[in-house]
Amino acid sequence: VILDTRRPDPPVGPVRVRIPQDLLQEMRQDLVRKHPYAAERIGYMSVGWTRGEDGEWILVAAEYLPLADDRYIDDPSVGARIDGVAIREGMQHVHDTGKGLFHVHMHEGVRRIPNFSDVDREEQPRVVETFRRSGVHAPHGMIVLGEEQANAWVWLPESNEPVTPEQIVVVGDPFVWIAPAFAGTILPSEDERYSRQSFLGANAQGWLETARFGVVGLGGGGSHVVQQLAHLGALRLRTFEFDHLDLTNLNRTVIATHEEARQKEPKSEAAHRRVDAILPENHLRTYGRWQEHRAALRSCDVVIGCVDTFGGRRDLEEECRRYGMVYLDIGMDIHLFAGYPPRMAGQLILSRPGEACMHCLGFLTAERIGQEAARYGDLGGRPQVVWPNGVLASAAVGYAVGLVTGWDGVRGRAAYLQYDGNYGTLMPHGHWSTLRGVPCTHFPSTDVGDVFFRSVIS
Amino acid sequence: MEFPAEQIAELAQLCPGVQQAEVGGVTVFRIPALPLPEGCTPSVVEALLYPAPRDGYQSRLFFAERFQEGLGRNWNGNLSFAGRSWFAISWTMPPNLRLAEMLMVHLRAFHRGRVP
Repeated sequence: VILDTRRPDPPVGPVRVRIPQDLLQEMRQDLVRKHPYAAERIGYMSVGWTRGEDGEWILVAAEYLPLADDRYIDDPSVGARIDGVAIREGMQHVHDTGKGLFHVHMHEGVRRIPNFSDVDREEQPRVVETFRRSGVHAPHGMIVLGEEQANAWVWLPESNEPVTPEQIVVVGDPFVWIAPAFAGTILPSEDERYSRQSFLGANAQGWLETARFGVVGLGGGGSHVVQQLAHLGALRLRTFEFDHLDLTNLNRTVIATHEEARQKEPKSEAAHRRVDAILPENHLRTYGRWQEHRAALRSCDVVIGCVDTFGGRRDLEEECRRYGMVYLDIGMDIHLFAGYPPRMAGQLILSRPGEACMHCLGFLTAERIGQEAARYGDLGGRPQVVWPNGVLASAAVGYAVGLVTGWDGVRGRAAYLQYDGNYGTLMPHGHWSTLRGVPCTHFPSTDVGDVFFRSVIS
Repeated sequence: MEFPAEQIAELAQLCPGVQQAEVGGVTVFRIPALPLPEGCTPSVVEALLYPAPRDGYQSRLFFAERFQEGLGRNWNGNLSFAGRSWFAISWTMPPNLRLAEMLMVHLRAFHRGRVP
């Protein structure tokens, strides 16, 4: 009889890990470098953290901390072993930043989800334990990268036993979904509803069903977005809207019926009825103002903002950047000039971690936000109409599906599309062409997770 | 945006327990228990000093809650910053103030009678 004394894989727990694409690339590049005597390399991944919907933990990778060559102990019995200084450096980082810390190494050549070896299971939890002692309120853990996949154990502050995250997402263009618990399409496989969109890829329907799409604002733009996502089979929609319908919404809000508008029904209830009618199995949750439901917003993978103000856009983008989410912004305006036909203009902006933000792209400026604030947000009943909202919403949904499924083969899509409603064109804005590949200077990559305040010593 | 150590020390003398963090490249200051001028209820509130231009203001003093000040100030709610919602009033001030001065000028909005 051979007893299996190996530490078993932990159960799946309520943890979602987000790693920006560029950071993952940086980690891989470091970890595959040859070491003078160790067989493999080790690094630390610092993570910001917060609580999401239903209390789940959201971990957002902030930075990679490579270990210097002389921090390794020359021990041929293991792939790599690090010294006490390296561990103390990790503990110090945890203490100084309030962030969680992950021991990282890589199994080169492994294409499936990599497993922790017997030595990993024995030794790495001891290293993690030192991080836990240094930062008792933060989640810490260990992660092993494969060529395309990853595996992780996470110790949450409330327990001494680790869990396997239910999802690890590489936030890039496109996303890479690493979900140990994921078992393919959730809807019945005999279901023919999505046979015409099978070109999106073998796993696409599963990712559309798994991903959480947040739609902020259910007016002209958001109503199109939520309806299209329901048609696509996006089961986990989250909407954020506090307002009620009225008859003036009927010219563009496609989720509303005349009766609902006449009765001044909440927009979120109308949306829920439309989604139920299209996708009865949905797990849609509707919320009011996102500022009052931040945990629910933070659990979204992609947020599509359909809000009216520059300040509102600024706030949503800040929130999305801080918690590692992709933000898609749409909006349109009619500009009236005496003696000329009205001008219709709009935009679709893709804001994702590390890339140009709406400030970089010149769309948000302190002057614009300041002027708007001086009017105390009173924008009045601005002119709006259905089709430009439909164009921009469709473009945003197309971007969201491309990011989540990667069906289109596009890598690094245009971050700023400008819409000319008079001529019916939607094309990359010049600012994006200029800034392509230039990293964002407004949102440092380490500004993720809940803000950690440290005492000022007087 | 960083501030000289003596300015931070000055603020800490005014507000024991003040904490700092970097947000978007700006050093911001959380004041866990900021005493409010006489006549405000409650008399102590959590606040956050954002000592850089934002929303068209030279700096902002955010409050964790809206309090009774009896002066009819113009309050804004649901202001999002650093992952939280805050309250603030519309209150302009000159540029280039020291941190402690900034805080005092913000608090002047709630003083009754002659401004000290």
